[in-house]
Amino acid sequence: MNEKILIFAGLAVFLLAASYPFWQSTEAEDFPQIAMQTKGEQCVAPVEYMRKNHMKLLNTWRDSVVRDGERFHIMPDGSKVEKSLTKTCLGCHVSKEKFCEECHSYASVKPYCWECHVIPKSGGHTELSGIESGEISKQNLLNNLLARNQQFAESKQQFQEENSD
Amino acid sequence: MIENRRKFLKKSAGVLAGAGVVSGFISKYSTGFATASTEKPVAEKGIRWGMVIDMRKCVDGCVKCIDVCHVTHNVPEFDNPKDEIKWIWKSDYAKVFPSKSQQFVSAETKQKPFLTMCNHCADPPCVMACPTGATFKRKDGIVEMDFHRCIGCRFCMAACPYGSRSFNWRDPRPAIEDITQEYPTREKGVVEKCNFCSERLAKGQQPACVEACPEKVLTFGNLYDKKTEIRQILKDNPTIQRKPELGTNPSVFYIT
Repeated sequence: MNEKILIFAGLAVFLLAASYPFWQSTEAEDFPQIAMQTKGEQCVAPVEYMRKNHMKLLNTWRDSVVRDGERFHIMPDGSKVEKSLTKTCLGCHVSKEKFCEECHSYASVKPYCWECHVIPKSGGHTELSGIESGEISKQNLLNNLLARNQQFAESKQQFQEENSD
Repeated sequence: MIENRRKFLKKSAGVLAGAGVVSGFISKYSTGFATASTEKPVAEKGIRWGMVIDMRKCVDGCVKCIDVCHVTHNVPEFDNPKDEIKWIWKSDYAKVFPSKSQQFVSAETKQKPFLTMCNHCADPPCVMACPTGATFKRKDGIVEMDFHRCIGCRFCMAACPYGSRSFNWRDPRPAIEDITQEYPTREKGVVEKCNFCSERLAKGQQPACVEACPEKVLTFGNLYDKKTEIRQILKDNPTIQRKPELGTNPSVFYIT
């Protein structure tokens, strides 16, 4: 008889513990209200479509750019933009933290875009061929490298002269 | 019934033996007619990007093209040579042209460090080796890498006869001095190589190395267009390719 009480008590405790998440909180955490800061007037596709399918769109863009060399997307109004997450998407939705991460962390999604792609420093580059923006820093780096090479060439020449004697 | 079976066995043995003799003859004669040339006839239509490297003009000690390329494409610089990543580099003549046909070369040429990069072969062995299709040949002849699909198996590195491919043994980000915003980096476990600046070509620009060279060593252009500068140079000068005996048909030509 005692055993029966123990068993049922144990069962009750187990059921309580197992069903805890269901009766404790029925309300989900609030969906993040993204304060979206945008520069442009229109998105590359309707907003509803983008909310649900932006990952599909990005995959299509990726494949068509890398594999077919088709680099431009035609906007709903007929204008052209580069198929680029860093340039076009983040060029308009300036803050990566707010635009990407708030939702992704809520949904516990971890895309690995940024393992390779470089997070734009000043909210994306909207220019179609944004090769100029990094030019100054590159120039400095090049000058340093060239100076180093000059030294290398001189030392090599010296070495050859010494050898020829 | 038994007799029938015996007849059947006899006949089939005869047929098999005959077939064996015939196939022996066929294989004997067909090998006799095999062609020795590795060059395939090509219909010169569309675009095949190529490059001529005029080593007579290349200055010893200058690595401007290498620096520009590596800055443009976020190529990391590791201290340990085992981790080295290279898209374009200089190597000894003997290593670049190991074929026996180049025997009595001048000492000056032999001492010169030769500029090397991916040859963007017309018949690329790396593309055949890649199990995921991460390395593929574009319609314009560029052997391109889709880093998204690379699983890091390094079959392509074993297949490439020119050592043009490098593997990211480490996370490359910390080894890049100043990350160029316009081009992605790679991640650990991915192979990379020269892409003939396909991202610059899309904007109508020349490859970074060609633009950077002060001596005009490098000439880039469409090999299938007879009016281009590159074809004129190829017509006027004797050129050599790396390891032509392998039949990879490189798109990079050298004037020594």
